[in-house]
Amino acid sequence: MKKRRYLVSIVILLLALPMLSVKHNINPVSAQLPLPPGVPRGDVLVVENHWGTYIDPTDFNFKVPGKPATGGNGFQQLCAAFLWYINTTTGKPINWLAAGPPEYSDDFKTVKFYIRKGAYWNDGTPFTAHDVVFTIETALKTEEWGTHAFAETWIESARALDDYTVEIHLKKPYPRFHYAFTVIIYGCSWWIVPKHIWEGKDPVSFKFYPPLSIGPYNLKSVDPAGNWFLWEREENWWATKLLGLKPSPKYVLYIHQGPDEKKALAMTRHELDCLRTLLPEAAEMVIKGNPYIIGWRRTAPFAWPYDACVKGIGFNVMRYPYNITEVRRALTFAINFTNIYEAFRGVDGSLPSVTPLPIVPYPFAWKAYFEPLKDELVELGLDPKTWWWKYDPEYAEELLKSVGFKRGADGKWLLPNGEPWKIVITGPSGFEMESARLGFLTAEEWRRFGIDVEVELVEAGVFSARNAKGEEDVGTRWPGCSLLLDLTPHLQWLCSKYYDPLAPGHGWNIFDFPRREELDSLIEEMEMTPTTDTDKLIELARKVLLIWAEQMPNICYFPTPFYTLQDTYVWDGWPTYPDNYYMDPVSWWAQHMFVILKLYPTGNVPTKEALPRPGVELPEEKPPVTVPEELTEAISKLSSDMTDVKSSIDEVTTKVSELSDTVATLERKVGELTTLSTITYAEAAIIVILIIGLVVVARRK
Amino acid sequence: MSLRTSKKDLIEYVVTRTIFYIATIFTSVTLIYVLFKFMPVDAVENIIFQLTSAVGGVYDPESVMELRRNLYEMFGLSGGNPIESYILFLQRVFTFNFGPAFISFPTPAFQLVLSRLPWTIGLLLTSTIITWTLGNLLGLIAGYFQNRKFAKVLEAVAIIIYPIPYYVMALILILLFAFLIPIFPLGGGMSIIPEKITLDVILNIIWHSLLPALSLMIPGALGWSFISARTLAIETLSKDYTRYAWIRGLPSRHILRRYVLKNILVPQTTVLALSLGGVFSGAVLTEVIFAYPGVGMLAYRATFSGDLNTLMAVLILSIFAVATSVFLLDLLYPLIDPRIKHR
Repeated sequence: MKKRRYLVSIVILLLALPMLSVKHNINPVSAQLPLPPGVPRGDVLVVENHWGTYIDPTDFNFKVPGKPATGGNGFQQLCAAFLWYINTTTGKPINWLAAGPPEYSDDFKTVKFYIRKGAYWNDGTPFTAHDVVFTIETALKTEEWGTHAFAETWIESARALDDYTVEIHLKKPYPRFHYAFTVIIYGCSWWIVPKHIWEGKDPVSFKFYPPLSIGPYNLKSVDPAGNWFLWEREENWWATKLLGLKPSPKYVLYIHQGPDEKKALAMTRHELDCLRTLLPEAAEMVIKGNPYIIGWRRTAPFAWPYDACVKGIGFNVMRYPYNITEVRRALTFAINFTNIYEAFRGVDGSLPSVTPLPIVPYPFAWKAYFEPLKDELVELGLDPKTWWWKYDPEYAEELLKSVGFKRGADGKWLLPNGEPWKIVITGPSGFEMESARLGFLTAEEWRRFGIDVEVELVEAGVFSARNAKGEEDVGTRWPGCSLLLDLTPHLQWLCSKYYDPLAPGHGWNIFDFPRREELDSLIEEMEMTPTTDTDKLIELARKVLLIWAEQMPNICYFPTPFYTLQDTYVWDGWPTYPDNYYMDPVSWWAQHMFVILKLYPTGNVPTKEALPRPGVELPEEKPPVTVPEELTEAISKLSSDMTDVKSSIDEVTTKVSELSDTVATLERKVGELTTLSTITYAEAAIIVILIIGLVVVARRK
Repeated sequence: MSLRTSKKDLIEYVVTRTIFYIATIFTSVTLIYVLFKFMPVDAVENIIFQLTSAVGGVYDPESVMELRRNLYEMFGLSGGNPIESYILFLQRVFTFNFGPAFISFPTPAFQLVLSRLPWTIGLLLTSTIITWTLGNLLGLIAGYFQNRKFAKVLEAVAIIIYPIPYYVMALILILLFAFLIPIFPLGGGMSIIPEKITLDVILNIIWHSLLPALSLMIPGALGWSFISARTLAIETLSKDYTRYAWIRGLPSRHILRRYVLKNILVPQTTVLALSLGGVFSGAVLTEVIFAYPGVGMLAYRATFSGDLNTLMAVLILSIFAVATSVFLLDLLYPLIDPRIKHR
């Protein structure tokens, strides 16, 4: 018996030993990543594939709608050809493959795009106006492309005036036509295709695999199972030659690890360098488990408060009683916003950025819209302390009673016809968990006010269908998204001309109210105002926002905080607010390319081909001047004068520099003298005695 | 005379079962059609929702209206006569041409399912067979030696494990063997760059499948298979014919193999056949948790996107697989169990 026990113990020990040794031998930061043989972890940036498993990972024809997201596999961050980007921190454009801003004719029916000279695809073929024209013409011809509808609606024709100028004739005036070609929020469906690759191919079934890149990386390998995509640095990239930009990581790996818990485990083990967001519980696990974690800020609170969409509650104004403005307003004033706000306080102290309006309160938007509208909003019921609508249940009661609602014997609200009033809030299930949470919190507030409320969570497919078709009374919604200072594209949906009977939504744009005509005409005026006329656009947008606030078709809370965590163990140089705020930490957006270009290895893990800290700043070019031909000479003269002025400035600069040197020398001497002054009297006495001694010796000689 | 009757019975039996088989498929397929008609999902609105929410409303409203009409046309969702669409549906089902997948247009939906099938079959077929074999074997031994200590320990373990849902087991295994003792990957199908099929690639795929397989096998083998086999074994041991075998002095191995095992195999084979049929529909939760690229994951994606064509392909394949397994089982039953006649 004893012998047997002894044998069993030996066997258990023998089994346990290899497990322990395995644990010790595995490098926790590279154990399970799909890297080529011999590639150290320090050469690889690991980004979350936020989309998940790609059903066909070799299909890069994202022109056909319904495909997976372009931000999950790195296509839009590392490979695709975009003309312009918007810097998420300033709302200002970055000219990328376009040499400058577009040039519109006076009637906004013709637009010219100027292409950057010297840019080329990664196979060496120059990127030209012909690629742009080919992309537009293919979109016009191909009904199956997602961009076809836009092309069909707006574009009459497109032609290349030369290799670097595209002229597009529009069917009707459109001053912000180029927005379609700009990466504003997340991505842009008008990425340019390489003509020499796509020409002669069926634009629908062609998979564009491997994709020809014009970005800093080329696709090296994909997981046949669709979870990861590995990109390798292009050593001969056009932007290295033209702009001096070169990314440090030799490889970028986009990987899907599974649900939140597994992403958190991966990040804790330094197997994931950045991600889109985590549920607060999972974020807490990473923050506690990985001391190298940072977020939107370098220190807590970490969450990014400016996701581009405001989350809130939408009322279906096509359904009774939500077509009554007093009802919507009453439901808003019945909410104690502090409860909702505090419910989103993260473990690290993160809090959302409040907005009573359907726009995101970026710092630049705050100055342009929120502060100037404060007095009018206060008149409409804003509480200036919380910057949200005041909690005023008495006023809410008054409003409801004014339109015939009454309370029953049990204190619950009844409809004017005496029937019990029940609100069903539709929310998303299995995705956008923050919205579902907002649904429950709102329900709790209304219940406390005496309304019977139920929250019904539905899957994505059902949620989008119900939203679009208006098959709900009240739903958790994204009442507004914004990133630009020009709010036209963000607010134009409110105009009645965009009512689609196939997808009426919550019916706001056909909702009839006394200021409907005024609202429509304001939006139409915004649409026809050039993007450069910022003052006018801001003024018009403020008026639209005030009408919106009067009517309150939705309740806006805030963009829900995103835990866009970034690990500084392997890489640093991440954007952080406020000290290094060159871009937002949006790893799933196309703009993340600019973040990757700023990263550098920390030295905590071995590297082989990772480059040291990049010294070049991201491009912030002045737009090239495009002028009518008759002014060319004047421009030329002006530029030669400018050259003279520049040389004079250079001279002055040199002299100033010399003077600075002199000042510096003087400062140093004064410093020395000051130092001298700090010498003790005894030291001074010794020096004086020595000098006297020297003088005496000299005299004797 | 007896032989003739037997042949006639056999033919009658096969014909009846075949009719049942066809009727089962036809009814299930029709139910699927009705279900799809009432499903409140809309692939087009899903795509538009994704587009407009992804770009945050920076999308020209007129174009969106135009795009919506185009997509309804492109996906063939513009409506139509319900009888005509039902006939078209049946045609699609019986030709296995389910139309293009909306989530990978214009790739045929069935082709997508076929591309995912080897992953699922590799994982589920192996784990189902191992689970079934191991569970029954342990159950048989635990039942036969019900008073021994190890049998009691096994029973206690099974009672603890049986109520644990397999997806919770999956998370426990991940925490244990992919984080605390990181000897398995967190998920995925493979983690090396597959230039060509080599031993390394195969081993890597197996390494990735082990945790998902264990998460299915542990609750399976020590759960239902074990408990049912053990109960059946105990019940068989108490039967008169088994007691008689003991009295006759037959060796215990002989009793175990011929009397107990053979008797518990009959109901357990039914379970196996149904499980094997279910292999084709994938294991959705396991595949999602482990980011495993099988049919379950495909069905999950298709459901979320409102891609009815792909979902239809998965469901129809599953219906065919389960119905065929049951049909084959019905035909094989008389061979396994002599008590079942062709009647």
